Amino acid sequence: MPETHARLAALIENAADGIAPYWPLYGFIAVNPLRGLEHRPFEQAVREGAARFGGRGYPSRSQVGEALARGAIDPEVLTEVARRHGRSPASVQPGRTDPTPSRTPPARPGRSSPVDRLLIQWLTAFLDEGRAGWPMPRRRLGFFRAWRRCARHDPRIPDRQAIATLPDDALEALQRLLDDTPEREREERLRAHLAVLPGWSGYIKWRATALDHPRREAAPISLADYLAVRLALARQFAAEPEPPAAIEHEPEAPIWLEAWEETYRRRLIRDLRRAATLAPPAPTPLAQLVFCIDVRSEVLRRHLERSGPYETFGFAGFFGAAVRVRAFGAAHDHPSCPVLIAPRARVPEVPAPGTETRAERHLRGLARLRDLGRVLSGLKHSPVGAFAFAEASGPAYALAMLGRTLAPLGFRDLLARGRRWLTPEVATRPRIDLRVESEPDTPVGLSPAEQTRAAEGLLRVMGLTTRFAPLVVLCGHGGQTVNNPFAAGLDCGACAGHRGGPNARIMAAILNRPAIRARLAVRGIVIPDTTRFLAAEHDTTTDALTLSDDADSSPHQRPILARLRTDLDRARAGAVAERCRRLPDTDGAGLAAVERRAADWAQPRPEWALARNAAFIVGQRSLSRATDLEGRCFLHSYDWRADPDGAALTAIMTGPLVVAQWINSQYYFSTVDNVVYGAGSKVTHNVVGGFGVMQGNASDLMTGLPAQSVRVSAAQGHHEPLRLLTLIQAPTERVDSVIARNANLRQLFDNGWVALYVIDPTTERWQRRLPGGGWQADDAEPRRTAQPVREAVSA
Amino acid sequence: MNDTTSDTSRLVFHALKKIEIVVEGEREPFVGELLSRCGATGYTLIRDVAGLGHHGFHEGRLLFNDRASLVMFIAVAPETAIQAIATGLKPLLEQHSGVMFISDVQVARLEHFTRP
Repeated sequence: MPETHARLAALIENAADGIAPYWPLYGFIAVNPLRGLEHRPFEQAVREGAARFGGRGYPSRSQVGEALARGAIDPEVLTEVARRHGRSPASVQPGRTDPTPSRTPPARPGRSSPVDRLLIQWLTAFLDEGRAGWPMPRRRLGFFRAWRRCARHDPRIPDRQAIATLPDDALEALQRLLDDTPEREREERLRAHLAVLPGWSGYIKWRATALDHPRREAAPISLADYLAVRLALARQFAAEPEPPAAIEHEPEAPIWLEAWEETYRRRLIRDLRRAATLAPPAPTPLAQLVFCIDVRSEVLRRHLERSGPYETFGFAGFFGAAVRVRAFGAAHDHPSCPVLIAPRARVPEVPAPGTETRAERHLRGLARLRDLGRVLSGLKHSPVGAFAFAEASGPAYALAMLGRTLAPLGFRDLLARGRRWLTPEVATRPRIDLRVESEPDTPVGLSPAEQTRAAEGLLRVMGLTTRFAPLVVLCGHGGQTVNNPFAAGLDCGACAGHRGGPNARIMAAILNRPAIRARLAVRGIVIPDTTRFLAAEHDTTTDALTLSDDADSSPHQRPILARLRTDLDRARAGAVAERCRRLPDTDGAGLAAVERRAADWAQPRPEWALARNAAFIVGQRSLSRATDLEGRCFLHSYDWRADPDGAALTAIMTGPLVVAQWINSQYYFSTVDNVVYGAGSKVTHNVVGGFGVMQGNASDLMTGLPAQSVRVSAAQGHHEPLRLLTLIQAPTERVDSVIARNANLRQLFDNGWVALYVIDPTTERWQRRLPGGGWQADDAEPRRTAQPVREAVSA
Repeated sequence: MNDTTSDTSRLVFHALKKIEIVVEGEREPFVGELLSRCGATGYTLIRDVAGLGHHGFHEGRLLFNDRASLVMFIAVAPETAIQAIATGLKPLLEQHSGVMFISDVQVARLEHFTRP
């Protein structure tokens, strides 16, 4: 590559900095849409986001008015914050706001340009993942080369000859298309082009580096390809990107946000402080249950702890197993760990011993189902067959539609029965041990040393290294929904948008192995022979917790399991009733109501997922066990006494904390500007290529959360847009030391993306970290108080 | 001893350039592709690099984050290739954490470091 091209490649890399990568819908990963601007203070970043993407960065006047009206913003706090900023309290009142905005938010701007329209259509054709009946030819050549060959036949392009004379190499073509741009202006020009359709740019940015994407070789694409096509079209239509419509934030907006955050923070800290002094010590646990840090776990954990002698822990839901999982019978494996880390190995799920015959029947049934799917898809897409197909299959589809609509639960059960008949259920086990296989890339299985490392990491980071109960349950999680392109958004973020059950099974199996326990014992973690690890999966839509199929194989644990099952039922009923109070249009508050939502194909909101998330608490459960956190807090277990060198705290702050901030930012920006940073209304969504959604047939890819995931209705909000508040129970100097050694954390805390509190157990001081370093004592009410806890622990 | 001496004396050393690049883990795909496309026949990649620079200390070996820690590339190639690589890195390092060092080295097996 000549020097000019090398330089151009770097300019593209720089220009794409402000574009957040977008993962496909089937592995939904939450990302801060302004991730590329996190090196700037929050206020500057949202201003730049407004200038670049036309997005709003603060809660609107009407959102603030609504929050004040229902008490989510304390008027006294607003007064204090206003004075702190040198403003009179009267001048920061949001005033009269229209509570029922009558208009639907407009579609993303910039879509009328012929450049965008053509580009989107070509991208849709090129990136298609098996939906198109007639795929775009020559995709193997890469986007620019394939487009250059096809575009000469596109009558909508004014001067097709000019396209044909462009060099075949994307960088070379781009170099030529930038000839008329002075060198120092090139990066900015590229940046402006990438910002017009940030969703598509973000998807290509992700796709270009997704080494394991199944279509990486069949349809390769890079940002250089994308920009070459974009600039070629821009030249054809003499249309350079225009800056988006100006967004003027109200001068009071930062004050409103600060007051909203401070109201929440004061209430949370007040409740935690009161409860921490009054909570009775936890009983000796009958069982210990480890849940994902996900905010949805908190509700079930609290109800379970109040149902019996259980101790619960929080850890990122991949439980330290950084693997790709291949489900039994699946065509491909999938990553099942946070996107911050690369999977270290592949773990296939294989039939349990003694189930080989069923497994064969299962595979034969799966093959038949796939053949049937291919035939139906072929008939639907065939220009001739489609008519006959519609005639012949119409009544069957009509019946299915009626069944889904009138009796969603019955129809779901009928489908499940049919599926079980065709593909009988097979008990499977993860095949964990390292094996040599012919496929190169990721190794299959984990060596004993890797298994030990993963097990030790899990136990040490969450501080469970002694006092093991006879039963320890690792609870992965996943959601349940039908007809929902955003289904992966309900699953576990720490498993790259997949269900967490497989990871729980892997780690439970590892932790039960005598050889691994012997290695752990050498390293100072002695797990008693009487302790058994078990896997389970928490269905966050229905709050059912399903124990793995080998749960009853050990007689010693059977009485504990019997009691646990009863208590889980009780906890589930409580958790469901609590969640139903917050779900709109709920038919009753019982289990049937949530089961119906999960099976309803017209339900845009099967559950609230992580809406209303606001804080990340790192510490021992005793800190928060007596407080009703309302399903708003990520909870990571941490025992500061078991981590003298701060290694576990470093792992938590550089991993799970960062993931929580990504999720929190996605909710924040999807709420303050659902059109630009969110995905708009589900009503007008159009699934494209199997990987994303557009509004209509040629819009930007809608990258954030749908309106229905953050609002009850156009007039009523649900998610509160607050930046993540992090509370860490650890010695202050240890937290300082972790921050000092990690530039990424300094960036998040110093630039105001995350607020940090330390609860120092050595001094009993609650302190807030100031931007740039230093600590300020919390000014909330004193620690010792006789006032009652909001919700006391039942003994 | 005499045999070994005579073997060594037959070695011919070829002058090439070495580039050492330390960048954020997130830039690994970009630098890897740049090296390959500019003519480096291979490189050594060290992940989880720690160190102190203009942006403060960067920790390595993070348990649950491969992106935040630094990576180090070491590549040896003819001067023209190293020149192109350095040209491609300059705009990147103007805006992001990282350093590059270029030095003279000698290699015995020239064909391993040059493309035909």
